[in-house]
Amino acid sequence: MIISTNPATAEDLERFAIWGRASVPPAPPEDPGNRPSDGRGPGAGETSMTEGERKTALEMVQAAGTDRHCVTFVLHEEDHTLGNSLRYMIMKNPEVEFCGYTTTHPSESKINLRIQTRGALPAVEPFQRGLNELMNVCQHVLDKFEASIKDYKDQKASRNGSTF
Amino acid sequence: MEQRLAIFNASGGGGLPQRPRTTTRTHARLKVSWRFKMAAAQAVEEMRGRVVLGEFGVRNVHTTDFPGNYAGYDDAWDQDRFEKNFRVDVVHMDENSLEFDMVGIDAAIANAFRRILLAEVPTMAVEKVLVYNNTSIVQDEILAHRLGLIPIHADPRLFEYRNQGDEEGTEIDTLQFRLQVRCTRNPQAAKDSSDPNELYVNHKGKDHAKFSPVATASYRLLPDITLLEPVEGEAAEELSQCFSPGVIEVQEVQGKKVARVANPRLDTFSREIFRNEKLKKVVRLARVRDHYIFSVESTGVLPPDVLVSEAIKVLMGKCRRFLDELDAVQMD
Repeated sequence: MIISTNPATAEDLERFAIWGRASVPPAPPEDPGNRPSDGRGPGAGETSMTEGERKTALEMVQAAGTDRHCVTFVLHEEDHTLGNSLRYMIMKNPEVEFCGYTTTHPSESKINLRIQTRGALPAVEPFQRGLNELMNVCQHVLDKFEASIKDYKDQKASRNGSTF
Repeated sequence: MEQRLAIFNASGGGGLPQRPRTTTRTHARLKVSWRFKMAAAQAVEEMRGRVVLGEFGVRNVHTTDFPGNYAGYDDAWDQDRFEKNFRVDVVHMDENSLEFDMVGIDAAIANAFRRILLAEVPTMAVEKVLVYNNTSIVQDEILAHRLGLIPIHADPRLFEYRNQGDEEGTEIDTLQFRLQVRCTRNPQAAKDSSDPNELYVNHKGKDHAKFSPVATASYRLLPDITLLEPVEGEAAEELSQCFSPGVIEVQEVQGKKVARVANPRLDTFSREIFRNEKLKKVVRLARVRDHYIFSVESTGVLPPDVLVSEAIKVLMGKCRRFLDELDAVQMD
């Protein structure tokens, strides 16, 4: 599987497709080459402009000839914190055949997260579902934790109050 | 006498009387296979739910309950099942430290919370120190480093991040302090004075450990100690010495001393039991895989319960960021 961080040549564009998106506003310049288009087949694609002030947060890479059920996501500025927990949530999905992540190099803060699905399910779908489920888990943990803290404080207050 | 001898011979000289055959062979086979099934089911439960500490190694370390791994189990993610099994119990809380239990969650997510508490909850700390006059024996950079490690009692949620490329601090992201110190305790020794202006900037522990808001944040799994056989008499006393105090309780039952596991939570797993040849076969040391005992000590910047809440919100923020990215890409 080929991953390239600087695909500028025409042959690169033929061999694989990369979609990317800047994460920091302002709006991207009005260059038609910038906009990733989903209408075309997997052989061609657009690259994202990564000019000086804008940083890519998420890239999706797939090899030519495969359809969208095997994709590697490159998540920038992330490490094992999100990588491992997201991998766990995605693996809990029975449609996912393979999910793994790796830190490319300790000096670079990015992770490659690869998802392969059974059948023809596009790999973005379990990725999105994993993120949503992880958010729901965190929300539930937060609610339960805050309720528990409140109970503890109330109990302590009532115990202190009763001694007076 | 003759009959007894006949019984001895029939059992092949084993010396034990034969058990009378009251069950049919089919029934016996069913009973045996039921026992195998029970043992197999227990082994599977142990594999799924316990991390076992053996004498020379640790078994069942990794999470294996993913869909398809175990026949007969539905391991696909189910938010309702998770919510039913999940609970948080606060054991102890004061203004600087917090101990709480999280039950029913996986290691990946518990570890994510721990990592965020250490490195990704933003705090304020001294970043730039301008030194005007330093006549002490402490060098400028050492003094600046030490000043940076001092926890600053400012709520970081009230401040904003400084934009990249901004050199001037504004009041929304910077605190400025002035330090003027003169040491006059020993009139014979050289006087020292330092008069630096310090800037405090909002950052995360990932950038430098001085920005970490916790003295430490750690978790451990709940210990699970099982006695495979009843332990009585002197062995019971020996057993209670091999564990931390309070774990094993020796009770008097019908005149005999019997050991019982009273409070496994207190154990620190020194593995002293494995040095005792007789008793090491009697005990199974394990940890419950999804019961985490968190211990968070704050440096005083924020109260520890607020720190944990912020850590959970940081993880939600990361997920939301990538969800927004995905939406932005898919919209095109």
